[in-house]
Amino acid sequence: MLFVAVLLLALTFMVAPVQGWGIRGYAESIFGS
Amino acid sequence: MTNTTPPIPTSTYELIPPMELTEVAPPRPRYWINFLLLGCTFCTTLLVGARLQYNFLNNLPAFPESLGLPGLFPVQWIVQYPSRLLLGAPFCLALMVILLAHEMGHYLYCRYYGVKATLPFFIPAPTLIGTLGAFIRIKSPIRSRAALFDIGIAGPIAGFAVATLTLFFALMFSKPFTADSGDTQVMFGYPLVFYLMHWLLHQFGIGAAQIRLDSSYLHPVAIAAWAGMFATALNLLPGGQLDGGHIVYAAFPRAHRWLSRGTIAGLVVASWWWAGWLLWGILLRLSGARHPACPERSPASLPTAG
Repeated sequence: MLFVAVLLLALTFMVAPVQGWGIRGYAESIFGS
Repeated sequence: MTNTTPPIPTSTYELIPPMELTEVAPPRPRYWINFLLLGCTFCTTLLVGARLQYNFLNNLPAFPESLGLPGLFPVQWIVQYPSRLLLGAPFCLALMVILLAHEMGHYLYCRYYGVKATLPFFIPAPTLIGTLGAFIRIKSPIRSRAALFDIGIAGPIAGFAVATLTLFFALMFSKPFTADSGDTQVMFGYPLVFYLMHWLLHQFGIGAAQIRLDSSYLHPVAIAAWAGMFATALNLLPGGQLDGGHIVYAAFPRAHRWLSRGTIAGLVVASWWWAGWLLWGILLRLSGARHPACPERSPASLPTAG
């Protein structure tokens, strides 16, 4: 069952649920990409 | 001579008179709070869903840039024509059923293990999806780690199952971008299950699966499925009082603390790509490493079902 928990997390996790709303985006807008 | 020694009582009964015991009834559950919050969340998700459906029908992005931030929670827009609310029914029902499935997964396993728990509390909120999710409160100790594990994982499994089924049908009705679709202020990232489902539909040549996922308008019900997937992932993060934290504690009690810290560190790193993770990392840190009362030494496989 632990495997199921890990599998579900892997299937549903998003590093960026909303794109462009990261600190990276703010940093690029200030300092340029 | 007189005897100055006081008489020794023959029993403690003489020292401690019997107390009158009265049985106090446990406080009655206040179900009206559950139903009030359910009703409010129904309204807020209906509101957001109406705008999503309207945008979808008019080939607009789910969250058009032209509407600005107030457009994300369109109270004024609904007040102008209240009948627009009906448009939100598909999104509202899909999202509520997904969230309810998640919470009822926890609740029913609590009942199975004889653990007292409240019915779900939904949280209405002016967010992109009209809610901050739902939760149940556990009111009695959990007797074993096996029970904690099952109660913890039942919610994500139930929510995921319903969200996946919802996604399957919703992707069929999604449609490609049009040239005049306009800019959007919210571009979704997609979890792996979205790509898998899209690939599966593509193999069978079903519906809008012929177009690329990132160049299509998601049907509002697919956005509800997306929210369900996000809620599943968030709850399965291995730390603190999240479902994932309970699962980790049930399986590896001594790893719970450092794994929680590792998760917080991971969220801080992930905020490079989405700033919201920073907020979740802070919330996880503030909630600490607490978890429902459960004996650490109970074997994880102890049978406890009553």
